[in-house]
Amino acid sequence: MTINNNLKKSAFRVILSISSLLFLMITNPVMAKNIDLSTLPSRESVQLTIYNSEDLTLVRETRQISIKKGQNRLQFSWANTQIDPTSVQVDFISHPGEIYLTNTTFPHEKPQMLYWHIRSSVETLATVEISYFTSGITWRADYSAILAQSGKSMSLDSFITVSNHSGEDYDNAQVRLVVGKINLVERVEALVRQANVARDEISQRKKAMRARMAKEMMTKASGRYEMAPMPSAVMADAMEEEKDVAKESLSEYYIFSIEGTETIPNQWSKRLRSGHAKAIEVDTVYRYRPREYGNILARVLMFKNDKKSSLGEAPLPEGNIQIYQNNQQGSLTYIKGIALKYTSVGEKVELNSGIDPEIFFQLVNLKNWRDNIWMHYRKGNVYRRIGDGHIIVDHNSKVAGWDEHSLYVQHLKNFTDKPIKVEIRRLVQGDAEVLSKLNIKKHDFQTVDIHSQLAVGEKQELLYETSIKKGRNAKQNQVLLETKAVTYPVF
Amino acid sequence: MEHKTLYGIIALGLCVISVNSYARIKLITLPVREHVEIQLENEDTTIIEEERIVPLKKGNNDIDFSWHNTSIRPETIVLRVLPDKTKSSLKSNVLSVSYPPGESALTWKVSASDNGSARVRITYAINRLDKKYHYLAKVNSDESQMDLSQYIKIINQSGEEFLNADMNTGRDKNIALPMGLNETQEFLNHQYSAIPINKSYTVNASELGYRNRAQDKLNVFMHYHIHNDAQHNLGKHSMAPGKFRIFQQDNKGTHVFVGEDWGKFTARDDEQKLFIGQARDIVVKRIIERKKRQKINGNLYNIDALVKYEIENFKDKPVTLTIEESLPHLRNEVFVSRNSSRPKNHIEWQVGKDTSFAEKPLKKLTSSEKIAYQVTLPARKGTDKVQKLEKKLNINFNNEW
Repeated sequence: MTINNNLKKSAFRVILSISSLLFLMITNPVMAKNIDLSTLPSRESVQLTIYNSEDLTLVRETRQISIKKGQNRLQFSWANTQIDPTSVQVDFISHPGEIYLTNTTFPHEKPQMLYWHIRSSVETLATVEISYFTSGITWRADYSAILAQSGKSMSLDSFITVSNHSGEDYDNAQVRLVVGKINLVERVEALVRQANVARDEISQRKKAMRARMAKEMMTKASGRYEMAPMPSAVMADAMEEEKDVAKESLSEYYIFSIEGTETIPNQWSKRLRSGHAKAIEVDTVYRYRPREYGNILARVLMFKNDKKSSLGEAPLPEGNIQIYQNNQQGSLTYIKGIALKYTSVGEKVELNSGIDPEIFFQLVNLKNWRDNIWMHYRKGNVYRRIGDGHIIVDHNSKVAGWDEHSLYVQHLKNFTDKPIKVEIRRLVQGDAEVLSKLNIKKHDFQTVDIHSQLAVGEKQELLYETSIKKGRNAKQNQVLLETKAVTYPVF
Repeated sequence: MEHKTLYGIIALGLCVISVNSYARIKLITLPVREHVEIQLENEDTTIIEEERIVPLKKGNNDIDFSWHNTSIRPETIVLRVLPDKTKSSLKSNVLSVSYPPGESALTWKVSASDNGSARVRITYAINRLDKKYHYLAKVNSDESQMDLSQYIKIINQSGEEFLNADMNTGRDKNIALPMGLNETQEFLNHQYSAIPINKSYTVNASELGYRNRAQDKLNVFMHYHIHNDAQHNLGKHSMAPGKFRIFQQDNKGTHVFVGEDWGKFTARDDEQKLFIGQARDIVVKRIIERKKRQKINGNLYNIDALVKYEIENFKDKPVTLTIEESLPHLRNEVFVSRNSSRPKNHIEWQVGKDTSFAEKPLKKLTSSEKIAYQVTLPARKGTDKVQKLEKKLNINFNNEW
């Protein structure tokens, strides 16, 4: 059973190699229509550079080919893959100046194929580097965090998962991952679709080629298939360490390079640990910020992507983070799965872990009143303030301006067994004033931040008053702060 | 008709042919679960933690983990190799995780420094293994105390059985409880006795409505109030939301079902309020006795409103009634021609001089939109005529247009 499977696997790969690169040794520059003689140079190395902001991977592969002096022709085809035909390039890295590309032909009847016409001044074994873009290979980051029982520190494991849906197996590939957003004017998959008009024709040709190759192989005297080697004693004895993921910056991007090589067959995904931070100092703040977190008092876990946190080597790419917490029984309690945004080196990470039901949070509007009421008299187009003594009784006058006062109490109760920090952001729109003796700071022209701390079991009533000028009284559109002792109203 | 059920399986396999892992043909050993813990602490997510002893050979090993027909959330799977206390020389590393196409499975590549066994713990979230809380409350005959039992019902439709499972409900100790396939288990989680409770009677024309609108009779809602603190023999744990079934002891010592309600999450030191039905022996009539509009100038008015409550207690014991009045509702009743484009809830009001409640409004329940008073109603004496109490609430709405 195992042998049969290996046979199938080997056959599949060989055919893929044939269909990937055909080196045609043709002395006559006029193309033969039906009779080709080809050799099959295999990949010497392959490097994948995968971008996470777009469905794009740069593949660089090297192959060794025999070149004769004079005119040579190379055929490169990529049937049933996601390769962008406009991106395929060849470079003769072993013989610069001696071997060069004269022109490239794209046969109109074979969309996933091209011919390179090469001129060489030497007869040699040359190393060529073929590069192209492909879609279908993606990578993403994800994280697993375990909070300590105290909630003051946590360990963080970072992972990268590479998924291959490109239609091609990449064996022993060097893998490099690019963090950052690049600009593309056309999507690779769109370019692939354009080139696939005559795909059926290619697939029929490939099917026929497969049948011919299989027939040839089966008639050979000695078996062509080789079993994959069993691990040697040396291999088996070696205790492999986790692969290092090197991180380096390049312009506006970061490149994560996985140590050694990886084999990622088509349709498979592979996940590797890219970092581990043992004890990150975590600050927990309870925040009410409706624009950011919705209408809840959110428990926000904060840490910095810096060296103090055993991080800071590179940005944290965006990805989901699963947060657990060590519990009294020595097992893990699940807190929440959260989307982590891209976090630069030195930047603060803020994770909204949702509502903590052990914190009571309620805003109550205790009292409202109005004053500084101005009436508009149509007759004479004049304005008079109520209570100024110059009032004219006029049934047709209308309220034109007034000040609206509101008294609020913010109830807070800390039922947890830890002291907590609370930050409340309130929107006070218009020509407004916030009056209180609380620790209130302006966030912007129309929002204020109220900060407080609660001991274990503590209850607080944070009182503040707002005064907003309405109608013709409003002259500005900004909130001002004023210190004033505000007391609970007597009804 | 034969009923077929397809059960899922969570399997952990160790591949002894480590090189040929992608061929998906393997000889595997199946390490059994040594221990399973079902975590019910998170309100929305159930977590399984299972420990297995995995034989490792020196070098690289592939550990397959598959969950066919079960509802594991794969993004939550965590493998941790636990420190080996007996053989400290065996060290192991998780090198990578591979996900084969079209399968509910993954393969961890683990390297080991020696031949031996490693204790691993696998943690994952699972769907359709749900819990429900419910409570059985037994109230004494004079409704002053309650005995409360909290039950947890676990419904396992996850497609997997957990036969040697410990339940972690957030208590100090786990509970050993095997969970079979499609099985439901129920157990007593907490029990509290002699909890002092309060019973309240409330009327609110806007929120609770009328029993008989034509006769101006309000609905009278009854609630039990449970304080989750040490003073009330509680306060050790927060109360999970769930159904409360309430029984009351009758004169013969048996318990009679008197109603049920959904209890909210109640943190320690917070209050649980349970609706237990409507009182028929307390009658409250509400009428607006007076409404007077006073023009200040042009379109600007002050409005004077007087609400009269006639209250009768037909019970043979005194009760405390809470009368709530919604001020936006009352303002709409007395100032119909109000400019409808103006904000509804910014109301300037004050209590007027004709108010006849003896006490101040209740601080806890009074805000810019609501005012609440408490009235003690005397018990009915024999079959004599019941005393009718009359209370008036005078509200002045100021600066309205």
